Amino acid sequence: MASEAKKEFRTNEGIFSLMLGLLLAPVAWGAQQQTLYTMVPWACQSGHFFVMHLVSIAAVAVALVGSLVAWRNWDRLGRGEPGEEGGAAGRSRFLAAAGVIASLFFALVICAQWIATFVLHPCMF
Amino acid sequence: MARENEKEREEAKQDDAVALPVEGERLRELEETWKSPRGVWKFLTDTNHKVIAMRYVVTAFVFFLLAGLEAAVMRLQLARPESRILTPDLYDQFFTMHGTTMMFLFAVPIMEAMGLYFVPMMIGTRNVAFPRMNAFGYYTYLIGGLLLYIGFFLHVGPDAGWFAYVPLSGPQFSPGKRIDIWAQMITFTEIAALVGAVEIIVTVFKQRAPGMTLNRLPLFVWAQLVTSFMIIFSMPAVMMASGMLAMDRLVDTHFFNPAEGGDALLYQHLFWFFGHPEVYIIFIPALGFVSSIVATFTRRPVFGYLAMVLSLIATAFIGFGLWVHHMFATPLPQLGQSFFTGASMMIAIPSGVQIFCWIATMWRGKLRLKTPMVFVLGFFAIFVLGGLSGIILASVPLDWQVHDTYFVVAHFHYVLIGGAVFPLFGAMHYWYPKWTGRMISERLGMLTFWLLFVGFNLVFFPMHQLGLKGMPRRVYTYLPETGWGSLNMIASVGAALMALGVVTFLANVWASRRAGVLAGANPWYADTLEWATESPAPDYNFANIPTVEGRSALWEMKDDTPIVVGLSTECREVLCTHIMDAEPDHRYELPGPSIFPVLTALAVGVAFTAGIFTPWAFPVSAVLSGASLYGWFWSNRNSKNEPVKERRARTDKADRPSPRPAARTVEGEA
Amino acid sequence: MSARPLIDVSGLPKHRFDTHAPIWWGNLWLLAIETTMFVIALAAYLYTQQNFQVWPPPNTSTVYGLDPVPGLTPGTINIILLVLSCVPMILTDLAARRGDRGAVKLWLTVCVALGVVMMILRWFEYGAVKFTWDSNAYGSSVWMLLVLHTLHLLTSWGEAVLLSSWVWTQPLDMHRRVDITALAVYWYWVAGIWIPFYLLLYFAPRVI
Repeated sequence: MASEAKKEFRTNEGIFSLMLGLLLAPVAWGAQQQTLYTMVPWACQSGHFFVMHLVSIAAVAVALVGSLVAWRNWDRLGRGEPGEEGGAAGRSRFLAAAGVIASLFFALVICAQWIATFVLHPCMF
Repeated sequence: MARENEKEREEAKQDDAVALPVEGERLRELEETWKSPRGVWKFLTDTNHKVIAMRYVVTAFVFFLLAGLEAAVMRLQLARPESRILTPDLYDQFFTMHGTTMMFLFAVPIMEAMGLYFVPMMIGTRNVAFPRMNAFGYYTYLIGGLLLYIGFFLHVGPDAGWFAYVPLSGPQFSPGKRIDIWAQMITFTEIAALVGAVEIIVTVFKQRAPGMTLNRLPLFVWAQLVTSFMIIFSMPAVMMASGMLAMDRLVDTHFFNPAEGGDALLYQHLFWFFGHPEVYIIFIPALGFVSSIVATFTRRPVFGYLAMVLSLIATAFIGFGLWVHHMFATPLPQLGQSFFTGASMMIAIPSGVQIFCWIATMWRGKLRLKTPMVFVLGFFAIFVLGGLSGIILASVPLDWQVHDTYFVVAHFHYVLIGGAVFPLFGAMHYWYPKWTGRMISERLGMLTFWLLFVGFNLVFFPMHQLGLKGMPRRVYTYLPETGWGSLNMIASVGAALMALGVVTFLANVWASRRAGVLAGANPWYADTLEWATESPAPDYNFANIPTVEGRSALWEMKDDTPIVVGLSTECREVLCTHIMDAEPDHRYELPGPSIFPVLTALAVGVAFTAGIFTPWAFPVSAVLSGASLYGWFWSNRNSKNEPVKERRARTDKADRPSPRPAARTVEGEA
Repeated sequence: MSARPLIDVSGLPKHRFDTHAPIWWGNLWLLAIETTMFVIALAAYLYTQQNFQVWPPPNTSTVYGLDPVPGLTPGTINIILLVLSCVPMILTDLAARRGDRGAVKLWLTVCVALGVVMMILRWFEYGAVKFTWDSNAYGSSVWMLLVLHTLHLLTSWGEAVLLSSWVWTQPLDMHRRVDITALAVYWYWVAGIWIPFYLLLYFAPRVI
């Protein structure tokens, strides 16, 4: 299975899935921050504060999907330690493991930004 | 068509003699092929990445000295209350020039230059991917820097701060040409930075030595790669901002004019969307230096490679989500600002992770306290302090208390000098033997370190206190009743010590160049590939392209680690490898020396210097640039022997048995 | 020399297309820079929009006419032409991959000719804008986007001129074939990036 996975991660689809696992969560974080930031005046005017929470929930969900994709890749590669082994297996394992941790970290950053919507009112200047 | 292919395949087969390592006659041929021009012509045409990068380093260091002198004069002015050394107007120009020079003409270019010098060597290739573009980048940078300083010496130096906020910098409050010069200089230097970033990314993507998969990339190279991506997505913002500012001033657009629907805060947004990543663009390469130095002087690979790489990537992303924390004192909604507080606090995590990884590395290894390592230890101390005051400033209420005071000045000097200049001095001591072939004096090096370290803390530590006492930034003097005199005096004494430290460093560079001990290829017993070749490295970097079998290329090199043979010695050929796995893919001929990069830079220069006075400069420059690009294009052709190789290339395509080229492995002769 | 194993690369080709080629990546990151510039210009456009009570701001110029939105006709013809010009560019691209010099000559020349037409049309597009860059921030943003895109049109056209001057006079070598495929990517980008911005400039002020 591991050798099959190795082949898989040389294809464009495999590489795309590795990159997705690594980059989905940071992108979700950036999207959350920009959306929330732009939404503040609108939320103040309309009073629909809950939409801000929905945005954060969606962002956390996307980040977790990212970590799931990365975890699945790492699992298919035999869950080995992301060491300095050469070839496609080594770098795939490295990227997959990096994706798992990065996604979880960015989920945390998303939560850190989410906290603000619990504490402050959008109309405060 | 098919028959033609058949014929080509035949010829290719006949041509299939076993390739041999480059030595003896072939080595002389390789030397001849890669030889740089001499004299003035060298300055105008050379495309060797080491030559270009060294020019960047030297030029940027000269700007560092100039900006340092400006700082020294300001410290002289502020040493006592009600001092009259500088007039208020001159003082404005001095702090603007100091900040602008340090950020745009020193820090970013020198960090990129270190990458342009060492990235190709560390990944085992002969030159960057687009050598002529690289030369072009240097000339634009040089023209931009000269423009700024010629303006300054003609008393038209910019005077609105290094970020040139509107409305102060707008047409209404800054008549004259001072701000125009600033804006055009920005465009120039950003072109250079963007060119350098593309160079580094493509070189790392395509030209790594066989075996250097992504998980074996040296941390220095990761740092440069991540920085380059940050440059690509942040620098356009400042180019647009300074471009819009220039248009507001030159052709009466209203981007930043509130009377006509423009917005002053838009400028701040655009500027800091670049400005905050810029801090990391300066800082992340320094992390690469630190990783290289720590690994070498503990003789261990840096602990937690994965964590280190992840920290770099995370920092790069979050670096784009912090910019509003420079605008806490503007009337933006509190809630909106708080998202940026959240992100600013979280970015401390990756920075902390890296510090702990280095500590773990030193813990496990045997520390050799040479000058570069001592600079790194100094970096730890200063940077951690700067990071702490950074966390304080990330909080909106605290930021309001100390905004625009000397507390902020203290903070960012701790971060930038601690986070970038100390590692840079460490790096210059560390790679000095690779640059010159001689060791740099340890005794003078240590003296430099202590002068800089003590001097630095004397200058900037009291500034925290001054800020808390309420001393504002950018004032040309203060009254004796404020009681700020003694702390200011201490800071100025510290500045003198720092100046002495820089002089010691220059003396050391000069003296060691003549009398230093010969270094040999790898004097520190370091692990990365730049130490695999002679010091200083030959024009072609490596006689035979090495291969890599682990993260620490040199420490894991065995007697049977293969080398690459079969690259042409008759033309400037490099090996292109796959992005992900660094398997040999194709050979690629790089262009040699050319006069056109400098001509093109001059043509572009017409637009940005004459453009200060008339918009007609732009069409004129477009025509000139078009002409020189035409020459550039026509002079970039492959060498004479191409047809033979060409047939082969096509044969390979026609065959198409497997998409991957079969790299033959042959036993070399003893 | 010790008995190091040798990896012989002399049999490898000298040029390869697409993601194999350094120039393809160089071009891609250049486009990333340019795209960022367009996004920043978009941000400026939307940011200044908040400052107007009436959008688009009423035109006060009596010299050019009072229409506060850019005229539709030349811009619409131009973008149709711009998208259609991708067809000869695709044919050039495919011909370059085949190494078919005759076809490259033909289609690249068509592209160059279309480029000239598009730039003339762009001139009329400018003329159809009845307000100037110095009338208000809206005018500044519209003109900035138009000029920014014109510069890219000019660049891709210039690149096409250089390459066609080569194919008309020199044999079509691998180096230029790879260059042509990179030019094609740039050309598609110049067309593609304009679609959202065309909608923004011409329709956003009409609809909202």
